[in-house]
Amino acid sequence: MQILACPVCKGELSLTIEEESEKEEVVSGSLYCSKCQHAYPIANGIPNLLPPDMNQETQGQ
Amino acid sequence: MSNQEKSIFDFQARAYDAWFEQEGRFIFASEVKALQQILPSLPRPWLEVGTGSGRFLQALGIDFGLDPSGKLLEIARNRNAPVFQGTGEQMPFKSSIFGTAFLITSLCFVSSPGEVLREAARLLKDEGKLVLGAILRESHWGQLYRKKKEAGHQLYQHATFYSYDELNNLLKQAGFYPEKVTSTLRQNPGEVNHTELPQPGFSPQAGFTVILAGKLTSGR
Repeated sequence: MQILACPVCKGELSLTIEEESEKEEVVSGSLYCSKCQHAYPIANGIPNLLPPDMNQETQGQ
Repeated sequence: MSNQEKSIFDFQARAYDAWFEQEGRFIFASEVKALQQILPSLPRPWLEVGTGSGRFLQALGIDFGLDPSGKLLEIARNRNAPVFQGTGEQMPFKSSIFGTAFLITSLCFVSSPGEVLREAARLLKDEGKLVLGAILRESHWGQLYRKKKEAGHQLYQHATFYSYDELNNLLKQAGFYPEKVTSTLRQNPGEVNHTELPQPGFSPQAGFTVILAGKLTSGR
């Protein structure tokens, strides 16, 4: 997670962990950019860092 | 990459991944052999942009993968490398942290290849390398995929195949200089029946071309 940055402003992201695996991998949670005020979700161990406009348009697929 | 392209890869995820073990197995093996030749010289950590279902990621031992398709990444995650959902035009990584970025038959599917290459340059350290694996427009394979595109193929209608000169220009504009070229897949489409050994240099007869490029720094 230390290599990650906000895809829009390239700023720091704050990690919130909801669930961790036995190997201490983040299974679910979020990465928050305080500058853009946007939370990027982590689900099934995969951080979704698509730009916000793209995520909104593809929800529900 | 556009939303439309993303959904196309999502829709075809299982079929796309199965191709590497079925009709595409000799093609994939030949491409991996060509890429393996240059691996020992590449600085770590490695990132694959457009990792898809993680086939090359796994075969080459790449450290991280990025792709916009959630469905393909679900498959890639089972191949034991950290993967992230995101686009090549707006990569979610800090600057100057990777040693090598791989773009293997993915530049043809992005809508803004110049932006993707500039982002790749941003992520790479000063001595970083870019590895481009491409189907060139002038090859038999490029011509076949172009015909599929023109016929409205579900996947290839969104692809743009570049010539060798166009790729070199894109690289230079984004701040890269080509260091080494390798090519493979001289067998014709539909007639591939063995894994090929790569040959040095560019050839319009080769279906798959690997360009290793260095990052231009201010001192050069």
